[in-house]
Amino acid sequence: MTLYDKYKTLIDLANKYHLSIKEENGVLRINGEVTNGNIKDEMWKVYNQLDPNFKSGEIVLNVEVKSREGDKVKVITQSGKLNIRQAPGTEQHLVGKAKKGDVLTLLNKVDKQWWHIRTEEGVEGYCYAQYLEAID
Amino acid sequence: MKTKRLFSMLSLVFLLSVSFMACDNVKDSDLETKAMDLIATNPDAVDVNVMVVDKVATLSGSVEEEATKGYIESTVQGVKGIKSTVNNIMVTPPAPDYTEMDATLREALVDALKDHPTVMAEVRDGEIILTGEVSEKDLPMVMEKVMALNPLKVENNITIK
Repeated sequence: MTLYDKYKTLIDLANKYHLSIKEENGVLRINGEVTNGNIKDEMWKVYNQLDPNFKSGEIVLNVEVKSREGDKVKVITQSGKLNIRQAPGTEQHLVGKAKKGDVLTLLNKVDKQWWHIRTEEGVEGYCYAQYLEAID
Repeated sequence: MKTKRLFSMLSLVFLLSVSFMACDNVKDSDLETKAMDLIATNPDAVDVNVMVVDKVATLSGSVEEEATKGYIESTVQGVKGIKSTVNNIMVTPPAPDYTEMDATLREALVDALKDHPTVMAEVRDGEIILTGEVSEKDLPMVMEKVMALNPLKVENNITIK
């Protein structure tokens, strides 16, 4: 059974959303942007179903939710607060915190991991992008 | 009249033999030196050797790319006097160097795992190896963050607690 057979459902989804699919050195790589967080969650759910607890090491799934500067983004921490920092980096000073569900304005994507944001109260700082999701 | 004709025939024979002798004067060693000098200017050809026997050049040694192998052959073939070239150069691509990629991954992992102190990560040749423990509920988030760093592979040896 090839990787393409084993992960057919995931690949079908990736094709549906026009993501890039590549096999390199025995690892199936799925990359790209999707329009909303539900699609990303769906893909991770399917991945977990096909490879319970991601044990196989056969996939690298890297799907981002499309968002542009000026967009509103929502805080998607599991339950805790999201730290807003003075500069990109978890060692940087805090300038504030945001709660789960708070809506922030995306000012600039520094890189894939750190975004410059502004809260509704006007606090500007940097948050770890994995905890932010664009609102449709 | 007969002597004149004989004289011109003899001169012709003489001239012809002289010209043949001049051709034979180009030694294999000269051709070899010429070819080696040409190759020496190419930094990609530092491990290449030329041998010329009976005006046939034989190339040996190794290069990193197919294109270089062909380029050297045409260079040598272009040396006046070399009749043909036998190309025994081996193409051996360089071993990949993961030093920079590993350093970038290690740095990015510090932030990625900041909220997951029970998870440990090791980086080896572009691959991330995860150990430690995490709840089943938190595992997808950990995997998402780690895969966002774009490693070559993620080996998940995390224990579910």
